[in-house]
This record gives sequence, C-alpha cells and structure tokens, in this order.
Amino acid sequence: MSTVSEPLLKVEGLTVAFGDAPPVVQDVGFEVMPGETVGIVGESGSGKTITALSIMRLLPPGARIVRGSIRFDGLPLHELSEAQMRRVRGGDIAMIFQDPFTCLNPVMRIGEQVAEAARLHRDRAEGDPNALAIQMLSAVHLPDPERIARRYPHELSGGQRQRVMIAMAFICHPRLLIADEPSTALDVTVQLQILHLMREMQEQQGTAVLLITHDIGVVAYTCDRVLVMHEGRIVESGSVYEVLEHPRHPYTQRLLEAVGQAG
Amino acid sequence: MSAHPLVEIKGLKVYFPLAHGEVVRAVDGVDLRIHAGEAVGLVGESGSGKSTLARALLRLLPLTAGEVWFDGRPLHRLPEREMRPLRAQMQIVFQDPMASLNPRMRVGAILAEPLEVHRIARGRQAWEQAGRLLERVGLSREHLHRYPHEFSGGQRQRICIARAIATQPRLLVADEPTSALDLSIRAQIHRLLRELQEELNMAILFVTHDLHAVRQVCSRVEVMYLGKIVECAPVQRLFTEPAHPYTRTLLDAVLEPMPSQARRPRRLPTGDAPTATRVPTGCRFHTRCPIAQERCREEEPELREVGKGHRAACFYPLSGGTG
Repeated sequence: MSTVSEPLLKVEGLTVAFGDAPPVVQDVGFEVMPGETVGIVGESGSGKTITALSIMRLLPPGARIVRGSIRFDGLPLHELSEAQMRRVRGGDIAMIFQDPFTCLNPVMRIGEQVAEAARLHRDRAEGDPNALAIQMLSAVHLPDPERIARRYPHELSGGQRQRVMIAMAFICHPRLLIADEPSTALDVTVQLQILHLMREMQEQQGTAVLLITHDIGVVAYTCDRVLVMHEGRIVESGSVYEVLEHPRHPYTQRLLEAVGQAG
Repeated sequence: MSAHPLVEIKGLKVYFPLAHGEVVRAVDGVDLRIHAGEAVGLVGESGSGKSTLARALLRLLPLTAGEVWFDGRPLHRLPEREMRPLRAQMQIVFQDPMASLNPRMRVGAILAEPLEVHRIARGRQAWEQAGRLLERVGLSREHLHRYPHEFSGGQRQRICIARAIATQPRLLVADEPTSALDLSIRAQIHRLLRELQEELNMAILFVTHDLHAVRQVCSRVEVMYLGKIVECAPVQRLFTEPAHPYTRTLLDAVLEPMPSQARRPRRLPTGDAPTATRVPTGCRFHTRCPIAQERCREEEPELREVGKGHRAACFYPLSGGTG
C-alpha cells in the first residue's frame, strides 16, 4: 500500500459510440480517490449513465469503447476479459441502480439473494453466507431482518427494496460503489433515509462512491466533488462548493438557474 | 374571487376493495375548494391518494361517498350523458405524454379531435384552430403534420397541454405533468401553465410530489397524507411556516442545490409510510410524527384554522395561531 494516495479509479479519454454514430461519451476523464464521493450530474442524454456502464463494462448492445482507458487500482478494466470482469463486479466494485425491483429476482427470497452475493465472492465475504445476509439486512436497518429475509421482493416497499440493494452492494466490502440514480424513484422522505444509509455504510467500510444523478440537490447533499456532463462531455468539474456555488460554465449556470427559479 | 367556488368537494371518499377483504382507503374524507382562476397545488408522496382525488373530482373514478360540485352542478349524481358537455370545461394532463397521445395520429388531428367532439369547430376551421393552439404553447404550425414520436418529451407535453386547453376549460387538472421531464424543461412547462392560467382565467389543480414545482405554479397548496388533507396554506406561508409536522418533514427532505444549504442539519424522517389498507388510528401521521402525544394515537384531528387562509389537522401545530 502506498502512503501517497493514488486514485482508486482513473478514467482517461473515454469515448463511447453506438456503431458508427457520433460518440455519446467523448473524451471523458476523471479520478476517484479512495473513500471519496464523486457525483456525475447531467440531464437525460448527457452520457452520465453510459460513462458508469463503461466502467462496469455493461454497455448496451451496439455500444463500444472507441478510445480511452479505465484503470481501477491500476487494473485496466477496459482490457479485461468477461470472466475477469465478473470477478470485479459485485466484489471490488458494486453497483446500485434506480429501480431495485428490476434488479431483484422476483421468485427468490430476499435472504437467499443477499446470501448469493456473498457466495459469488467467497474470498471477500467470510463466514456463512446466510448468517452474513441477516447481518447485512440488520446493518441497513431493516426491522426484523429474519422475517424480511424470508420475504419476496414484491412484499417490500420501494424504500425497503433499496435497502436490500444496499445490503447486497456492501456485503463484499466493495472499494468502489457506483450508484446510478439510487434515490430517484423514491419519495423525498425515503430518499433522504436512503442517502443517509449509503453514507453510513460508505463511512463504515471506507468505500468510494461514484454517484450518477440528474438531481443537483442530491449531489449538493452527498458529494465531495462533482463532474457536470453535457452532450457526452464533462463541461465543468471541481469541489461541490466551487461548482454549485460559483458555476463557471454557462451550461452549469443554466442548470442551476432552472432549480433556482423555485426560490 | 367570487364567493361561490368553481369546485367544491365535501367529505369525499374513494375506496377500493381488494380480493381478500381488505379495503384501500385511497381518499378518506376530503373537503376541498378551488376558486375560478386559482392555481392550487395538491402535494403528497406516493400512496397519499392525490391522483385518486384528482381523478375522482373529474369523475374518472367512481366515488364511494361524498359530494363533488362543479360550478354549482352536483357531479356526484349527474348521469354520464349530462357529464359529457361538462367535460369540455374540465380537462386533464397526465405525467406521460407519450401514453396519452395516439402514435398513429398527426398532431393536427389530435388537436382537432376535442374541437370536433365538443362541436367547437370542424374540418379546415378545426385544423386552423389547432395551428393557433400549437403556437400558443410554444410550438409552430408546421408541427401539425408530424407524429408524436417526432417530438421530445417536453414538446409532447406541450401538445397535451394544447389539446387540454382546446375547449377553453375552466379547470385543468395537471397530474405530475413534469415529473418525467428534465429540470430545465420542467421550469419552461411550469411557466407555460402559469401563463395559460392567467390568460384563460383557468383554475389549475396541480398534482405533484415536487415541492419546487408547486412554488413555480401555484398560489395555494394542499398537503395530503394517507388519504386526507393535513394542511393547506398560501404557498409562501407553507414554505416558511409549516404547521403540520408532516409538512415540516416533507420540507426538511427537500435538498437544496447549494451545498451550504443542502448540508444544514436536518431531522431524518422515521419509518416507512403506512399503507392505505391499514390506516393508523387517531392522527394518521402519529406513527412517524416526532412530536406525537397520547391524544394523537386515539383522536383524529380535524383541519383547523392556524392563520389567515392556513389550516392544519394537528392538535399541536408548529406555528401559526396568530395569523
């Protein structure tokens, strides 16, 4: 382990395109330090989700990385085989999506699904997977975790399902969590609870977070640094205080004005 | 403001029985007034019953109990045949414009339809009027020949709004009309609604979970929780002096775009919202309320005046009382 902090994630010149069409992500570069929370904010079509999916190598069919590199703790993710990538996903790098319902298996009990995550990465999650699952369900403050473990996804509320996703994401002590609109589908009061829980788990495990969202309030509340994406490019980046309180790029200014009009 | 409201809802209940004997009490005893030309926000989280209330008001859903008066007419007992001419006066815009526009119809035909159905214009004249409607909502006459899929989400919502105002309604119900749109587009649609409300002297019932949106469109807000209105107030007052602990919880959960504000200390809401099949006894918010007392578990508070035009259903309101 080095004493001078090296970036945990380093993305350079990332360019992604669908077939021969103009790139949807163009020359994107940024770093995430260990334990840091970095937000990528942008409107739909800005390329923020495609950037996240490139890191996980989960691009939709037809899309490919045209140029650029993605290094995770020195490991070139863009060059790994699918088999190697599978060991990274859910292990060193976990992911949470907007809609927990579509990520959970509808015919599998909650406890089994959480335990499954531990079983896939035995080297990282020690002990009996089932016991570990209960422990994690309790760590994300689900009341009566033994009972929740026996339930199916449709028997839980949206907020409870997102807690389950967080339990699954953290069961293997990931070093990086990529969260794509983790609270967007939730009611505001539940959103606050979920963001708070993510922060708590992140601090306990020292995890870095890359948070993808269209919601500037969520970035302002949770992130250390922010990258503003527009039409496939990063147009502005810096600490949340710099970027959101003193935006320099006209696009960031426009985005903030649109929210500011509320006041 | 005339003394006699455009819409008056009294003791409205909308229940949905489930197969195994349980009952969803989606709207559970609501009184609500909307005056002509007034923009009222109906705010609540999912499951609060806000959309059900809006649809029941337009008689798009059967009412379980209560009364709905529109311009002095008792909608709750009008036969459908007598409802039809009234429908021109009350229109609705939904969240997903793509789902409410026929993909095989040109925009011109979509807009001409209500004009023809309600015998306002026909043929070329209707087409002509459709062009004017498009221009009014910020699109252009050339768009008449296009199909819905050729437009962006924001443009499609403009088309839905154009269709809704075609009959010059006196009430427009907007049910989460901007929730699916990007931020910058949202603000534009809100501005458009506000302009139309003033220009056409049209009342708006703006149903949303988004408190920012309410501020941009409405002058008065009604807050709904588990089937009941728990607070109503002029918009500015609601934001600065919420009286109901639930409203306070909602406002406290709004994240400001400035980090220095967003990171202010805030109280974390407790627990999950109960479902409308198992409504708590007494005050329905008592299970999550930070200041609940013994009385709140047993007795249900009614809406009471806590200030000018400001009412809250709470035994221990947080502010007000002096007006």
